[in-house]
Amino acid sequence: MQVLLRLACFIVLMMSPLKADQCHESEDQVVSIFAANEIFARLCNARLKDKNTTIWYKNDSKTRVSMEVDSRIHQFEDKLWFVPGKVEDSGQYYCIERNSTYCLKQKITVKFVKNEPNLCYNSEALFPQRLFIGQNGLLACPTLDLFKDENNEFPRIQWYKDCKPLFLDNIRHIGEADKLFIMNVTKEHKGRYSCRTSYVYLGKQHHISRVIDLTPAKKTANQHREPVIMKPANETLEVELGSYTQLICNVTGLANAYWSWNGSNIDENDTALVEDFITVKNHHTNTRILIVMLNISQVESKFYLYPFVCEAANWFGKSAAYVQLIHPVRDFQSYIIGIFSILTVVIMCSIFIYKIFKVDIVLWYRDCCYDFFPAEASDGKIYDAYILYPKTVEKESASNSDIFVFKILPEVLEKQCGYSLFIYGRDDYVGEDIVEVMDEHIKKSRRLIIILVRDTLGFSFLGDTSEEQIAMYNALIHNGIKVILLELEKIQDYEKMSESIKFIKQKQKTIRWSGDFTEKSQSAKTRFWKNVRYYMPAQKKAPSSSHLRSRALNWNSTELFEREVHVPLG
Amino acid sequence: MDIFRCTLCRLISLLLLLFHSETACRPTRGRRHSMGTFRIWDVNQKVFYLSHKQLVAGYLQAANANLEEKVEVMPAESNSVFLGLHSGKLWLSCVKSGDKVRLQLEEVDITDLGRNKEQAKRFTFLHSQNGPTTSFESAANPGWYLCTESEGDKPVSFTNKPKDTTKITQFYFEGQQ
Repeated sequence: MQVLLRLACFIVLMMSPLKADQCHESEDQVVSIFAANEIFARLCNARLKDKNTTIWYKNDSKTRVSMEVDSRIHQFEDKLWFVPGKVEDSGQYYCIERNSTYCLKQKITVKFVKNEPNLCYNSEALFPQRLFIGQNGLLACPTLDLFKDENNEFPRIQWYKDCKPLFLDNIRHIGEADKLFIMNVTKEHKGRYSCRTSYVYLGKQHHISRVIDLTPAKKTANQHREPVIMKPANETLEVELGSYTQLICNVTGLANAYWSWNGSNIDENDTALVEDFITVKNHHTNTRILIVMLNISQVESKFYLYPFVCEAANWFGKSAAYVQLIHPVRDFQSYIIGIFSILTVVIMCSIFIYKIFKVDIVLWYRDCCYDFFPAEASDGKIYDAYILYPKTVEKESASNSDIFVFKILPEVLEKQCGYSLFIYGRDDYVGEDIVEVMDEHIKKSRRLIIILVRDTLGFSFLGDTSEEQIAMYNALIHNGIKVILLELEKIQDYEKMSESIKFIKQKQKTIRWSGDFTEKSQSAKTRFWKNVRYYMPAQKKAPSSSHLRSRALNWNSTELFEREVHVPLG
Repeated sequence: MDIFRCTLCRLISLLLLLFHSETACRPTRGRRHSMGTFRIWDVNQKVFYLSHKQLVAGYLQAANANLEEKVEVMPAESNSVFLGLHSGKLWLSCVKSGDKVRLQLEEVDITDLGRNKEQAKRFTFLHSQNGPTTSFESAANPGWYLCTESEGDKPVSFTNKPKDTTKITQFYFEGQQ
């Protein structure tokens, strides 16, 4: 029985180291890259608590690293030493840390590199370090912790920048322990800083160097300051009650932003107010814009009471901006603009219509409203118009102008419209001096109607007759009488006309006769007669049919009388 | 039929692509959202990295730059933040057990946690600006500051003696735009 017990104990004793060898394996992700031909030491760093022992193994994980300190690669205490490290030493090493209950096996990778040609370092071994431009800061010569002396102090360090010795003036560059203090960092500080020292190990001095890649970091404007809310800008927003609205908050810089209302944040379970956000990166300016949206599914009346506040914060500060919802104000401005636009259109149309139908409108107005005209004092004129017309030389056949003057004109203006005309050759008395008659009768006329015909047949037109001159004189100089130019035919060339006709022609347009010269009855409602009536003075009384008839009778009697008068003198 | 399939596939992939690009920049809805990712290093130029599930501070060479931990900063209350790692999967917390105050990395949904003030307290750090550097005091354990050791490759921890020269409590931050 005792034998069995001893056997069991022996088996347990035999098994225990085997059990301990069932280590939890891991790999140190950090690859150590250091200069060859320099002393190098490192810890296992498997981070086992209460560790008792550390054992180092070579890359086969079985062969133990020598414990002889004379050996170039050896284990001393719990560290792995390379005295010095060679390029060929690069590779994997294993360390096992044990405590009473646990065992950790870790694979580590070490790489030794030679300096690059014409450089005092190898770029593979760079330690990047960053400082902010405009600030004071320090560079640390890394991983020298194992090379402190017995007083726990770092060996003396020389600093180099881009392989040139760095002068430590104790003002801008200060060297202290394993640190290089740099005052007021500028862009020019960018570069490769080497720190070099030596370490006496087992009575022999060995070199140590590290290389740092310093990047002076620029503090971008929006990185190191409080967030900037670009939108909203403490504004009001017109919103209809019950409508859907989205409020947008735009924030630049690294910040958090959210909406709040009435002093509290938007509840995530609130269905009426839903907050959402996106971040947009502006690649050109390399800035981030945070857009926080607040969707209001239905604007409630309480939402008008307090503003919605967008708050943005980062650790440099806070910003806030609000949107106050307001009931929409009726837009009077647009109403006014609308009314003015309509008015303008109406006025433009009216002007346009008036331009086209001016004559009709005026005549209609005269017809309709004549009764309301105030009774005017007599102007002392007898005739409404004096008719000035070319006198034909040939007397055999009545010319068109004669037909027009003696037949058509009186027919319409006198019989139909009720005007009184003075027509020389009809209304004058035989033997009267023509110039005196004209002068006298033109003065008594309200209008001077000048009949224009083409001067093709060679007959003498108004030309230079004294009658015309008197008429013109009265029309133009006295200006008391208005002239109406009637073209019986199209007259292309006014050059042959007298200066006064040309002058009047420039001042006003002519009315061209468009009908024929037959003696059939004319209607005062044609365009030509409307135009003539337009230029004629307003009638005292629109002739009613009965009135017309009586006038016609009067005129007929006058004609008869005149004819009677003419006969004995002719 | 093949042509139809091809077009359909293209359409689907196009839709997925569009949807992806839209959702990529839309984290889960919540009032709190990250201030962004920041590069953090102490005034002695040590950066953070994870070693055996511990947050440590040390000098990392350019070859190991991928191991550097960047910090996700999420505002908590006014003047205080949550500090996250791994794009906000792990969050730094300050836990006191006995006399010891230690740093924990916890896998939590911080936006969910944010609502419960008591729960969120150990994750909350009051930040104070000191020129170009920032320090973080635990909200759960006032007087205890996030710190690194003056030696490299040592765990990030807390100290209640921020003026102790062997502890570094001042950190540089640089936003990753």
